[in-house]
Amino acid sequence: MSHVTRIFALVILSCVISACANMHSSRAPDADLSKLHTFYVQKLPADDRGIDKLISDRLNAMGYQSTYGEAENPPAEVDAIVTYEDKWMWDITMYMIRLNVQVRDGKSRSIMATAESYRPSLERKSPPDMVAEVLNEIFKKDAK
Amino acid sequence: MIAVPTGEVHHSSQTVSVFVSGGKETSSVYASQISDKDFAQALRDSIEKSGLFAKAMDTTGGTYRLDAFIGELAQPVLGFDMTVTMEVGYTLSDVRAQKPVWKKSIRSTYTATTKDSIIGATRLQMANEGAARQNIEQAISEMSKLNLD
Repeated sequence: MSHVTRIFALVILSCVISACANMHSSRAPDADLSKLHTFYVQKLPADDRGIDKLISDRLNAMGYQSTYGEAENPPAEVDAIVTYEDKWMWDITMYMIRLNVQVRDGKSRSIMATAESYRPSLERKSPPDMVAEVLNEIFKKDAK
Repeated sequence: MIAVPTGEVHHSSQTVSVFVSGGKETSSVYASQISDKDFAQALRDSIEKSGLFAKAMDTTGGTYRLDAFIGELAQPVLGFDMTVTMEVGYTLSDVRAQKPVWKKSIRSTYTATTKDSIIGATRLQMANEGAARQNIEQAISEMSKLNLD
């Protein structure tokens, strides 16, 4: 294999490797998400892109009742509190490279379920689409 | 990896079965992770080293059962200082009485800097281990306060 061909193959391989999207989810052994109906999405202080609203809107679209806000404690008692962390990278434009979401018990705040989507540049999706895929993954066994 | 609190730990003569879920395996392509198997081993070794329980097992049969759920492992995408935040939900149950005796979520943070390693992947792994170590130390300290028999 010539030197140029080797370099070309390495470039293609690195593109393929870096383009692998990844989804991971897990649920606490005693978690029963089917009992959850009301949610509060706690805004991440560093979030200035309205990801909290996207998550809340998506939960409402899925048939749940959800609100969002900056306060650590919800204004009213809820079944679950949702926290999240979004990470962004630049590649010609800014894109969301990773989103992880935790669903916490409304009283104890212990994590009941979590999911994370990782999407490098070549497999980027819009924030609403990433929110949808993460929430679908968390609630996939309890679909309404 | 063994994590033992610096303070005094109450010694129980009982045994505990340790189970971990929620972790992720490290692949050759993606960033370093914390697997169920590795965290469970570290938890068992640390419990035995500290004397919290006489024996920590990876099978059922213990007088107590400790379930640890790795709910969050927040890692940086890149950076010079790598800060990892870990949150683990613990439930300690008395198998004889068939009821939980302790339940708590513990959050820990660790930062690995370029002084620790100039290689980013190594800094991330060190930050993972540091967060895990601190988490286990806190868990053992909290369980020690129960003064179990």
